[in-house]
Amino acid sequence: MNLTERQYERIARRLDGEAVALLADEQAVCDEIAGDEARLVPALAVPDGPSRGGLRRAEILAQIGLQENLLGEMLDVDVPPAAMGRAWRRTQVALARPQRMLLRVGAVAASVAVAAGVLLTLTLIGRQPGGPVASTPPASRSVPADVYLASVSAAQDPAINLLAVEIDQLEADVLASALPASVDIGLDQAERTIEEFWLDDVLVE
Amino acid sequence: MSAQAGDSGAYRELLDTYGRRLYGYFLRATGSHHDAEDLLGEIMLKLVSKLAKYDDRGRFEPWLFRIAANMVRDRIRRSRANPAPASLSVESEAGTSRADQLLAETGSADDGLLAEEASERLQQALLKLDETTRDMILVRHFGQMSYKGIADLFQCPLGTALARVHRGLKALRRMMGADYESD
Repeated sequence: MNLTERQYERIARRLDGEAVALLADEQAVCDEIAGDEARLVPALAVPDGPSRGGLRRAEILAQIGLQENLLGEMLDVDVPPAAMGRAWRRTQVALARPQRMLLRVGAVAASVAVAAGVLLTLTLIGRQPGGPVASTPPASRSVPADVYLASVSAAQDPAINLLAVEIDQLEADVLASALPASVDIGLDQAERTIEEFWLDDVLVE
Repeated sequence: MSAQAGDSGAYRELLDTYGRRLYGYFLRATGSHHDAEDLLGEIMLKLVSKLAKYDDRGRFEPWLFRIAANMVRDRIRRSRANPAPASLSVESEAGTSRADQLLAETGSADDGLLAEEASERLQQALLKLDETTRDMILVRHFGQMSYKGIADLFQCPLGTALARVHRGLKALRRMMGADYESD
């Protein structure tokens, strides 16, 4: 007996307890299913239930689950809103940190580049043959420094100004603290000998 | 429901009330005492975490057997992925089939023996059905589920659910033979 899907649906609703009027062939199938189900009941009965060990194990597992739930509740804490706010602000700071680091590194790199440029300019001016710096080294040192300071002040950058003053000071310190080289000592002696020679001559005169 | 509040005594009651039926369902669905006991323990553990979400406006049994049916499906899927050599017969705790045990139990009463044999034959017949049809029949019986509930659980039209059960029951009758007809 072949029934349609719709007919099976009507039988299912009837078997579920709804008051559905069935046709003769539908009723026959409905009775057949109910009979098979009833016949199955004793056959499906499980001869041996779960063992005592199995039941005990199931019970223990439920207890473990309950204890885990309790532990979970005990471990849970209410987070104060202020703490959440602070945590969020710290997160934002941490997120912004790499950007600020880049800006700082950029500023330092720019300052170093400017300083290096200035030093290079000073060196080049100092090496020019017959230039004012070469002829009178200690006195003429102020000339390029002035030029440098003038150029820096033109840039209107206080950071560069400060850096320039620092470099200037450092240069002066280095020059002041440097030990005289053996060549310089030899030259000094030769100079003194020549001076004495001429002075002797004068005294003779 | 006091079990929802975490009352351990309530879980003991749940086990007493539904343990045997759940075990029967698991045993018939898997054909293994070992798996049935394992699943019974597992479902109790699951209940502890799931009961909090249970809406007590619905019926508890269909909800419970829906969980059980999903567990059986998972177990069968896993055993297919990792097949182990196993007999289709219902095993005892010692791992021997009931048929073997019955042969050894020469002193048993005839009635009991016949009932056990019928039970074993039915198990063999059930395991020959396709998985969905078998599960529908078992959930209907052990979970006392309506056909509407079965259709919802297996996500198929109501008519289809009953048609499958009808075909499955006819197949069982055919496989069980004359003894089943005369019961």
